[in-house]
Amino acid sequence: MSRFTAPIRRHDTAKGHYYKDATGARVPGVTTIIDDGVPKPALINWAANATADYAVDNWDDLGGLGPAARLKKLQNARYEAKDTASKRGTEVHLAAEQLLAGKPAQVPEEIAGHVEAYARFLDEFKVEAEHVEFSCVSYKWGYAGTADLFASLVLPDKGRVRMLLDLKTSRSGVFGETALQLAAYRHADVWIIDGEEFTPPTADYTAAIHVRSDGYDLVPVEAGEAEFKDFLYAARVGQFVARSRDLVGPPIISPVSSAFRLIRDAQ
Amino acid sequence: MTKLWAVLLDIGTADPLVYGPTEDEDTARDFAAFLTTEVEPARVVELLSPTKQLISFWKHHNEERKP
Repeated sequence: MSRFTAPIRRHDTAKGHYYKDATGARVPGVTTIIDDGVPKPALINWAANATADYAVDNWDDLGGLGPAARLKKLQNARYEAKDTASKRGTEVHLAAEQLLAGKPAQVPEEIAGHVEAYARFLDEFKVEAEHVEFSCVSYKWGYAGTADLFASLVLPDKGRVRMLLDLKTSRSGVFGETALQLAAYRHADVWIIDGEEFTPPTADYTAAIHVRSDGYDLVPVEAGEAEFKDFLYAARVGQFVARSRDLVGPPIISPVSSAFRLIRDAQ
Repeated sequence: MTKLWAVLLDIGTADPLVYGPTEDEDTARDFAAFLTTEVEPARVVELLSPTKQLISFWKHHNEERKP
C-alpha cells in the first residue's frame, strides 16, 4: 500500500525539480535515493583532486587573497567543478530533447561537440524516439524519477529493438549505479506522458548513451529484477542513514555522584 | 523479468540440443535428470537476459578486436 496519494507529479524549479503527491508530500527521487543509499568512495578522491586542480589552476589569484578568503575559495572549489559538470549535463539534455523533436538546437560552443556526438548517435542507430524526458512513478514503492529516452533503434544483428536509455555526459563514464536508475524507471508502476499516466511498455534492452565532446558510446546496462531489488535496498539504506542519528540517544546522567578520585604518586 | 531455464543435452556434436526455455527450474532439473539417465548427460543453464546477452557479446567482440 502506497504512502503517497495519486497523482504524483514533477515540479520544476530554478535549481532543478522535485516530485509531490496530491497531498503535497514530497516523493523521493530516484537519483536522490541512489545518492543517499549507495556508497561512492570515488567521490572522496574526486573531491580531493578537484580541490587540488583548482589550487594549481588559480595559484596566483589565491596567493593574492587573505588566508580566510583563500580557505573559503578552496573549500568551495569542488562545488564549482560539480556545478560546471551539472550545467553541461542539463544543457546537453535540453539540446538532446530539441534534436529528438526534430528541431534545430542552438547550443553554446562548450557543448557543441557533445550535441554533435548525440546527433550522430541518433543517426547511426536510426533512433526513433517514443518518449523523451518523462516521469516514472511507483506508487507501490514510493519513488519518482525522470527517464531520458524510450526509443526504438537498430542494433547490429538484432534489427529494430525498443530500448530504455539514460543519457550520461560526465567525463568519467557510466557507473554501475546507472543500472539501479534504469531498473527503477523500468519497474515503475506508471510513466507519465503529457500529464497522462500509463503502464510502461516493455523495453527489450536497457542502456546508457555516454556522450562526450569527442564522440559517444552506446553502452548496454543490465537493469533487471535483481537490479531493481538492489535499488529498493539502496532506498532502505538511505532511509536508515536519514534516521540513524535518532537511534543514538544523549548520555545518561548517573543517579548519584561518585566521590572516587584517583590519587597519583608524586614522583 | 522472470528467470528462464534451458536444458542442454550433449550428443557429441559442436552444439548441444536445447530444450526450453521454461520458467520452471524444478521441471528443467527433473527433465535434465531424466535425459541424463535415459539418453546422455544433460545440464540446466539459466538463460541470460537480452541486455546481459548484449553485454556478453560486445565484451567478447571488443576483446577479440584488441591488438
